[in-house]
Amino acid sequence: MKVSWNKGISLVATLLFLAAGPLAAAAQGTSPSDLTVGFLPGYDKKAPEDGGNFTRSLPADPVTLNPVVANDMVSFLVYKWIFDPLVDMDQDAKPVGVLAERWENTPDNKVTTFHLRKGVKWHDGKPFTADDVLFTYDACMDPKVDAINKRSGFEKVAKVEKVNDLTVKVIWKEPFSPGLLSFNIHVMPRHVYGYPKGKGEEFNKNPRNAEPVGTGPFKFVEWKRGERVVLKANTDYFAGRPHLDQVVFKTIPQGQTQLAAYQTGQLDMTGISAEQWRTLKNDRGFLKGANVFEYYARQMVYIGWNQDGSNPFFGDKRVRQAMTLAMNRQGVVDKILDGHGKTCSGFFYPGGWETNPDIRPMPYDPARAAALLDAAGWKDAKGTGIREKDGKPFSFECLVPAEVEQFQRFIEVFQQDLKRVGVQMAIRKVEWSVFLDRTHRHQFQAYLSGWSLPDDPDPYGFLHSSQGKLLPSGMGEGQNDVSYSNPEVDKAIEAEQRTFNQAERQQALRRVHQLVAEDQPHTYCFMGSQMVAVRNRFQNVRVSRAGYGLFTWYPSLVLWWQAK
Amino acid sequence: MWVSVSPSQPLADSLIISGPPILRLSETFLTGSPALRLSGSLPTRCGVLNYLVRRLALILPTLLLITAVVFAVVKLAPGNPFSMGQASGEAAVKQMNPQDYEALLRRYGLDRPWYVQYGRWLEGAATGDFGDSFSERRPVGEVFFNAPLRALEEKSSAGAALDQLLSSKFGATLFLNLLSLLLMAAVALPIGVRAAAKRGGWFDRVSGALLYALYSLPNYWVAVLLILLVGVKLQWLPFIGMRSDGFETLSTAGKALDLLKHAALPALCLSYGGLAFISRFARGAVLDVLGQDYIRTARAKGLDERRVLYRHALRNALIPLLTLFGLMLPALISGSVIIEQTFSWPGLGQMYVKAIYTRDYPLIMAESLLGALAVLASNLVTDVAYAFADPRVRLE
Repeated sequence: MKVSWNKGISLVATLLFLAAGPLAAAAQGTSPSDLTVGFLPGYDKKAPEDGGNFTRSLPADPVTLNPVVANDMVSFLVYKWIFDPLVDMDQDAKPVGVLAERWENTPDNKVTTFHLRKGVKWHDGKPFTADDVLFTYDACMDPKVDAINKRSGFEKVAKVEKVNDLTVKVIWKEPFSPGLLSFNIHVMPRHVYGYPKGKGEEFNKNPRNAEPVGTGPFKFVEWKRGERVVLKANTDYFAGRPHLDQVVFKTIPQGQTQLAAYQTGQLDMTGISAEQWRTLKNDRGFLKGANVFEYYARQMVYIGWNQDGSNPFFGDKRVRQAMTLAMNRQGVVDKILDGHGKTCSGFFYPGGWETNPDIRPMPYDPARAAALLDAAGWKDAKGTGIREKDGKPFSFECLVPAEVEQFQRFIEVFQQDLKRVGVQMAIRKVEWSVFLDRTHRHQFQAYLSGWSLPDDPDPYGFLHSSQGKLLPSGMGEGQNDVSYSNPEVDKAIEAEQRTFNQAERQQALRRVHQLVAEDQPHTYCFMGSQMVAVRNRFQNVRVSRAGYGLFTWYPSLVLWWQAK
Repeated sequence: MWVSVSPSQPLADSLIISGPPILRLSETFLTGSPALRLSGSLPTRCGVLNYLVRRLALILPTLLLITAVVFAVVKLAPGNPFSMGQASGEAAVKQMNPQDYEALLRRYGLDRPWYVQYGRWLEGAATGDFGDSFSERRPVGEVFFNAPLRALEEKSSAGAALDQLLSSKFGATLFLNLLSLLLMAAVALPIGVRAAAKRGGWFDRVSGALLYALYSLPNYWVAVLLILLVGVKLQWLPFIGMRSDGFETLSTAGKALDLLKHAALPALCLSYGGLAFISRFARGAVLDVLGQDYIRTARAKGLDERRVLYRHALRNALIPLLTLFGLMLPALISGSVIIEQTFSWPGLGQMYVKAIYTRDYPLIMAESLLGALAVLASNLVTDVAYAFADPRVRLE
């Protein structure tokens, strides 16, 4: 989805547990130049010990700790430790069972049977059963429950049935391979809410939403709004107790304050901006107590070209390719990001299983860009410095969200680059809400924004042509707001969604990557890397290989421990 | 600037305001000069009542107007609680499909024109129901006053009630701003008096220059500087939130000390800018009084200068200062956006910004209403207090 990451490092903080990527031991001066995973020395030498607290910050207060109703990142960062999903992903994006011990599909892939884990207990001691799974599913589907975004993926579910106390059957309308991971919804306790289903509005603001009871590795202790949330280890956790005794989340809205809090020992982890790093990398006191990780978040900067025919420029593939070739993306990485980033070739995470290893990011090649524009009929015949075709100058407007200061700097560089090949780009800064509104309504010629990769690589929502249509209300049907349409891509995506064979799925997705890299419906600019410091008394802290499953760290906090 | 009463002008000139009621009210609003008329007689009970009734009657239409304008402006801005929630940079958040999204808007009536929605809000507000906050998923009253409401229900002891008050957003903001107001008064008044006593002397000039220099330093910058110096380098004072971990286990005195320590830096940031302003104002007021006959009399009868200054001059000079402090009252509850944010202070100011970003209409409306009420009420209270403090003022 489109993402406005901004405001210094407060969002970095949001993403700490989220995004992932390679690791570079930045404390030793390694630059994030490659995507191999490394480990800091000294880990796993000793047997883990139990005990100790871990304190981290949140950029805002959670909205609610009811995982069905919550739709914001901050709430997720907290409730995911209190509740367990049926299935989750490991760092290679393979589904792993959590509350579901195993599952199987019928040969036609129309029924999935989940076998639930035996002996799992809610934090209040009551047993976990199939009724809780049904309760959670029903809550998600209740039109009066604000399960704002939990239903996606469930459109293809015909029915969920209880077979017995520990078995649940899902009947699909049609085979849908990304569907399994829709069951990463966190399961809620039916007995706590005291009704089997329905009661929509009551569920939305039930007082228990602020005092949650889950099955997860940590139990809820207290939530002081605007100040902190405290969780403690669930010693009866089915997979064994977490090593840490307590996790504390402190609400600290400002990035600057966050680093200060880390330096005075009030936090055990902090995000670091490139600017802060310039001084911190020479700060011995800071480096001595910290492990600094640098990784690529699953986010990138891109420019969307509107191909719905409302402008004479971007319907032509050659023009879009020329745009990408004309812009010095590597130059921006070097000069503006201080080298903390790399150019990319599509909405695919470099090194991910779905990503086609043969595709290289397009180079900076203004000569080829000029040749392509010539071939497309855009020529500077009059010598005005601006190309024309059929009497129309190549002059367009690019929307940029005004809140993100970095975006302005990127686009200004690109503006100059384009001018050199005879293309005039006006920059239009708009407030984020206006930006979203105009892009969702397809009322733009081009826009620059950030993109955040979903867990599952299924690109249906933003690359399938059906998702580029407008609804009667004027809003876009899906997120393909550039109205990209390539029947071959559509076919590959449909195949990828239908198959349950991982190799076939990989092949189809790599085909999509290849086609999109050729078509350039967007210009994929670069991914910036992010830095985070964790106090080095915490052991078993590693950055995940690919960040699947919404975490940076793999293994998760549950397996971290503190050396005494 | 809030004040049109120039300290060097004779008091009487600046306070005579006449005109139609609406104009008077708006004047009060904009300039802060109380709608007063000076006359030689004492206020009659009937006159005060009459005045109060008229002023109170005006509050209602004013509030209607203010809330309608705020509502319209907020509604006309693109986005809504659901679209903004989705868009807030939250990578892990799954997309909702367009049908669900439109159903949500319909359910909360967000698809209706703004005046229809305003009507519904008004209807609720009239019965004391301000709706549920979208970003906190609980009633607005709870968001503001959560703890105090609970304390009222439980009829707990005064100490516990105070404790509860301080754990609400409202209480947090009130506490911080009250403290900075006190700090301002305690420092600025003596400086002002002293500067007036030795008008044109070195103290007057140096303090004036220093305070104006302080006045011109932006407080968000000073806040960061203080955090780095006092918080990180020297580690003298805390700079995050309102309480230490383990606050509950402290004794009453320990709790008070802990709160004060946490409030020290933010209160400092909130108050130093006002020092210049209040001290100059106090200086002007004292100077006005020092020219009066009764001061000459006091001096003539041989009182020492200290007594003349603090007993006779300051007391009378405090009367115009009432206006000034009255004007600062609304700030007590509206809170400071940037300072609360910087020091992670869990108050209303921080909440307001978040409410605007997330288009949390019920919260925005409630906070705006509270702010408007505070302005109107403090104007009224100031006027009335004025009449009681200065027997020459008669309310009509």
